[in-house]
Amino acid sequence: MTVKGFFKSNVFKCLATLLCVLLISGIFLTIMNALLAVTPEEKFQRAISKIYGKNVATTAVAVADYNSNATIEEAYRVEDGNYLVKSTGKGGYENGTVTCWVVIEFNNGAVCGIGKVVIDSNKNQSYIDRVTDKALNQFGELYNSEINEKGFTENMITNATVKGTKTAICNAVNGALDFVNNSFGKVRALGERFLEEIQKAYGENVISVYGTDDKGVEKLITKEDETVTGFKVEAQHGNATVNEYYKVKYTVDESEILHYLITSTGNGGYQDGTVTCRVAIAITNGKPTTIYNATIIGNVGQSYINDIKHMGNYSGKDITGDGFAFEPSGDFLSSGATKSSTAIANAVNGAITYVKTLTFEAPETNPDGDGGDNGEGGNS
Amino acid sequence: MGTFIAIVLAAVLTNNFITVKTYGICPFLGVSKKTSSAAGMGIAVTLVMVLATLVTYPIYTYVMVPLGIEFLEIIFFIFIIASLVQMLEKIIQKISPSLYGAMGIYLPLITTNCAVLGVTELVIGDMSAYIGDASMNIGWAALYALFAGLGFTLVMIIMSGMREKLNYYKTAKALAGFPIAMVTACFICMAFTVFSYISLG
Amino acid sequence: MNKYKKITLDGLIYQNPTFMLVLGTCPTLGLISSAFSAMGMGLTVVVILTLSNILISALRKVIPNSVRIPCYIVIIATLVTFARMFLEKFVPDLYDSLGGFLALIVVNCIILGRAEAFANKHTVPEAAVDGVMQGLGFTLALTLMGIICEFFGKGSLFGYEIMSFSIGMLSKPAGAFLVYGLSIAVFTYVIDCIERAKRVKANKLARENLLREVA
Repeated sequence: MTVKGFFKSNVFKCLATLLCVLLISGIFLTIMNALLAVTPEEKFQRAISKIYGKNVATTAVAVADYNSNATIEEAYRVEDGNYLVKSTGKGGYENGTVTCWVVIEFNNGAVCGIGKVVIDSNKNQSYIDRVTDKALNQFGELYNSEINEKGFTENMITNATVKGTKTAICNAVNGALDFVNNSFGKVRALGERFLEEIQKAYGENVISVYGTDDKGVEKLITKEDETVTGFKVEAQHGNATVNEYYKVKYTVDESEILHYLITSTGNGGYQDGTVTCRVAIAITNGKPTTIYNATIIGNVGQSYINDIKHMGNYSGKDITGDGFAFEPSGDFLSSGATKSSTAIANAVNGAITYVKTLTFEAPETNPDGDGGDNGEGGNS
Repeated sequence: MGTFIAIVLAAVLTNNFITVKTYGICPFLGVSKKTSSAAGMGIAVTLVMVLATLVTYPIYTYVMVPLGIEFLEIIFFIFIIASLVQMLEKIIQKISPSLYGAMGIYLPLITTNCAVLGVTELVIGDMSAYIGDASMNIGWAALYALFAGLGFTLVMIIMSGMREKLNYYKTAKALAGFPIAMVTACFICMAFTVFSYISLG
Repeated sequence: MNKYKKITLDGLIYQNPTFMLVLGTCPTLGLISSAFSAMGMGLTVVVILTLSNILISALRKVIPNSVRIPCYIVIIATLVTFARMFLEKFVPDLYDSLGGFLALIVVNCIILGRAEAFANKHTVPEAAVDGVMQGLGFTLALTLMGIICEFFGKGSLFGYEIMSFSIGMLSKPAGAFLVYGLSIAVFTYVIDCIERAKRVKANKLARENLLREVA
């Protein structure tokens, strides 16, 4: 075949068409790639806006591990002051890991909440689908200063029926918290957190809380205190162990009000577990009169503790009657958690019995005086 | 050794191409009426999957990535697969006419089989779920392709066995053909979910 | 106009690619566990199929017969690559949920099938209408099955939770096979019934006409 013949043959026509189509396609795609390519920055921005729900500017910060159960992969300071941490938690199902993006809310130089937890990737967690959004939202809902100190544990999170995977997620979140606390936040003293917790119950009122120093002498608890100790009791009262108490004083309409804040652990809960309550009892004219409020601060084995809805019913109850005790029924029972309700009633009753064994002086009119500090000798 | 077992188990059982990834369904439904043809198709697909991976993986890693033309991967891959299938057909025809008689008719169908393009795309992506911390290389890629193909063949043969049995029964008119084949496939998939409990720790 | 009506009816019903021709099964089975990704896949195919039909129909006299398949494949692969770039840039949610099936549109039998069976024999407007209608037939079928699978398999619709009850199997390949198979059965059964009713009606009419003439 001559050269001229080749150019006129069908083979050449076929080849030329194919090459033309390929060339045009290649050129078209190269142009489109230049126009439409998604840069790594854009990908990152996209991931962040997905977590944040809006576009935010971020600056990367140096990472370090403060917790052996988690590895901090990346961390960013968001323009609104919060921190965004990518953290990999260990200890999952089959020794796998879960990598999460955690938004840590940060204010006044301290961690103040968890904005969001989003799962990024995982290793070996076949049932990661069982971790629902509800479960992940719980990190933000449950967060408090105590958790900031101790970390989340797997049993706090519900709506996710995979223990191992949940543990890895908790580890990732705890790792992120530890990282931000240690790198950027001043760790708040126990006193500040303790006061904050108690202050919640008293709302606007300015309160002073009295505990003891290491020698057992009464002292005002301040925000700077590194340790907080109450008046030790450790006595059995009925079905409850009264552990310790604090005194709360505050002023309303120029008269000083004194509350005994008693920590008491009630027995007889679900599966022989216990519930620990903090009961604030108002002392009027040297006598315990009413319950100001009662809150649950801990439990052992009470799986349905979240079903307890009646704690508010204890508030304002008159307890002056002789041998007064609450029965776990009616207003003082939450259906679905009868055993836990019983343990709570036991704890409150224990606190009441204990406080009635104390003798009080009538308060002095001077608001600065430390009236009613004769709490000692209650162990009889 | 651990990586080897992990790849084999994932490719054949836990992440089977048909029952989990739903790749290569056209031949699975179309060529599974008889066990002999199902096995022939399965072997042909496996062969092309391995050869295609052996060609596309190095081209992608050593040519396209350095040149920055990853975005042309679909065109390159499909072209490579199409030419490979054509060449294979010609070669088999020349070398072994008997093999060509058994396998040749399936080869042209394979170009538009998503299992082949699927495996070449998979091995250049994130394989950390299969190979763990080991780094990806052409050996693992070809091994994965081989066992993914064998997994495909396995399910093809199971399916054809069931469909051969189905011929002995009367099927409602509306269900005859594809519908009953898909219901059968549903049961195979359910049986294969058992393997998702396999774990190598 | 009758021609376009036929193309439309063929695409949506009588030659529906999903229920009647059973083409493009891999993405169908892989994506109907979520209505959003099923519909997204369908619409992506509508766009690619229409464009490929138009291009192939326009080039049908230029491309020599012996290299037509490689040329079609290159054109389709180009369109798919473009669609992938476009989705990654502008609709990343859909890009993520389609996963590997996006690249596999290249080997989707519907597109190459329409190129071979229709576009290279018809004019550009006809090919365009055919592309849209075949694509819509695919989209409707996928969305319908996506809704069924997602509603019963996850208790949600397009990602919005509706009920807490769900049958997990239906959001897995096993359920996809079951729903697809039964959908084909129901679809063909309904079409059969309609056809039969039409035939009976036509026969009756013919008989009446005949009787009238005889009378």
